[in-house]
Amino acid sequence: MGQSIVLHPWRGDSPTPHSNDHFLSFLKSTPKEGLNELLDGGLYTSEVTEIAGEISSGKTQFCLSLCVSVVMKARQNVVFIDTCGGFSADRLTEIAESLYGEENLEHILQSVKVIEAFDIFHLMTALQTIKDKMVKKVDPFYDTLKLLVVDSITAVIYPSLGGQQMDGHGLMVQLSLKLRHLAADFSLCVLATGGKTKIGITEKGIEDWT
Amino acid sequence: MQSQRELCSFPIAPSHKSKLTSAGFLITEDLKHLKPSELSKETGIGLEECLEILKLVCSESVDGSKRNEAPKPAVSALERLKEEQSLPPIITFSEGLDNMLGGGVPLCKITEFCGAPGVGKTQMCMQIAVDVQIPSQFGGLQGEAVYIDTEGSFIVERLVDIAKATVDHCNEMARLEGFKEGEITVESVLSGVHFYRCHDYVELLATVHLLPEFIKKHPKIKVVLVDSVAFHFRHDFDDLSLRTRLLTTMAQSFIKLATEFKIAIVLTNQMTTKFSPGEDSRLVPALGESWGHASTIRVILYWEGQKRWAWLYKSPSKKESRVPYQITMGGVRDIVTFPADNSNDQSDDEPSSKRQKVS
Repeated sequence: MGQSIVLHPWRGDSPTPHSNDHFLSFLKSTPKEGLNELLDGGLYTSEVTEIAGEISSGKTQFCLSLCVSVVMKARQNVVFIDTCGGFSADRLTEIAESLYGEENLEHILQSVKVIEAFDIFHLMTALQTIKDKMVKKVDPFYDTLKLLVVDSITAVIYPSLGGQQMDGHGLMVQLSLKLRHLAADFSLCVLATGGKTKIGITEKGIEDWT
Repeated sequence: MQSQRELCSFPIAPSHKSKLTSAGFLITEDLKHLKPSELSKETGIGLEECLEILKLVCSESVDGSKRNEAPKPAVSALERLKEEQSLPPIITFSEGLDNMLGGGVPLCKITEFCGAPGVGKTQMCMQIAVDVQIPSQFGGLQGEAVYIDTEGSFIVERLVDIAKATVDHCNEMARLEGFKEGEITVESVLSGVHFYRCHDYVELLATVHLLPEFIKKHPKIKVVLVDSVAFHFRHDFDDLSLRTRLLTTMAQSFIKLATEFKIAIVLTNQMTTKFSPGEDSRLVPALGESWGHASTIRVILYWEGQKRWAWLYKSPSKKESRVPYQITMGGVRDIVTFPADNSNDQSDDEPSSKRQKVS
């Protein structure tokens, strides 16, 4: 994977971080510029960026906002692969309308395509289809594709991991390779969301806290 | 270019995959012009399984028939918006709750209600099982419900109470608006709830597995309720990674069910105590973080003082908010407050001890 961001929801009643821990925290009132600085300029193409965070930390919302930005600022298309049912066209409309008004709404909605893939094999088929379409160049939508969002990637990987079967890790590696090839071969920016338990960077290095 | 796809990215059994790899078949191209008998000879896999593998892998060239497992094609967000707007939500009878959820319990999504014992999760489920049957002239879905009970907390008499209140309400509305009364009766409501009782997690997984067939035979079903999903997964599970695997597989089955048949899935979850180093312990929904990502919408029900509150914790399209509600004889309702009024409130379920006037 390329870069990793961890989103930590800031709720008024949650305890403040301890002084010797670093949470890559994302206050809801932080403007986008702050995040761009954190990422050293923004999200890069030809890279897979992972957004991890607790439940309701804003991962899907971040993805939706990014979709709107890419369509309007970069004038490119977006494919959103939904693996967990979290995509809301209503919310995308709300974001688009509030930022760019009603006149741009239809253009934004036409520039975002949504694919549903609820298990890892469907996801692989979907990625293969996208690759085919980009290679064959018959569908003009895919000629200007710049952002590929997979929300969320853990939803399709967890069912294969753990238990007695050992093939889960192989599938996970396969999937990550496919995403990286897509990113690298076609200069796409690939954004994958995942769940993460709290991680803290302490004196002992990065620790996984459940 | 499908011919360049690796064979291990297909849903083939791991034992067959290793046999294919050791015989030298790595990508789809390698299997292209092979007959099942030839494949069987080369790899040592049984003839029938070879036929299945070839059908799976080369399905595009073979007689153009569509695989059942093929994913839906990409649709633009505009079409998704039209789809979303054409699906009405299931109303609860609490306006506050409906507004918080954006109209009610939405179709094609998984809604999870978490709460401590006694806060009203089962009542909420029973209310929704009745509400989904409200006739369309009153703004309802006129559908049926599947109720999966894992705890044994389902009591038919209670469902009758809630059904009676809803039927009376509908008949009242029919009288006022000039519609025919009697469209919905207590008997029709009870017969519209398909009840399953699951005694362990295996029964639950089996029931969920068989639901697609059941729903195809009963196309009026518009909601599947599971009360509660946590019960069987919290006890006697030594292998936690197996539990995560089973829960996430079940979650994906649910979301497939929801989107394929355009139904709502409602789950209830219990609460557990979380200890963090250096912090106070607090109540969080059970089954861990990995399960938390499974539901699309999460509502946490809790007590504050004498009132029950619903807290929208996770939602793809609505803001985080909290509303109070109450459980009455007739089911889930809003809390009716009268501004600076000295007359008594009519909530039947409030404790009988002296309480402050709420304004």
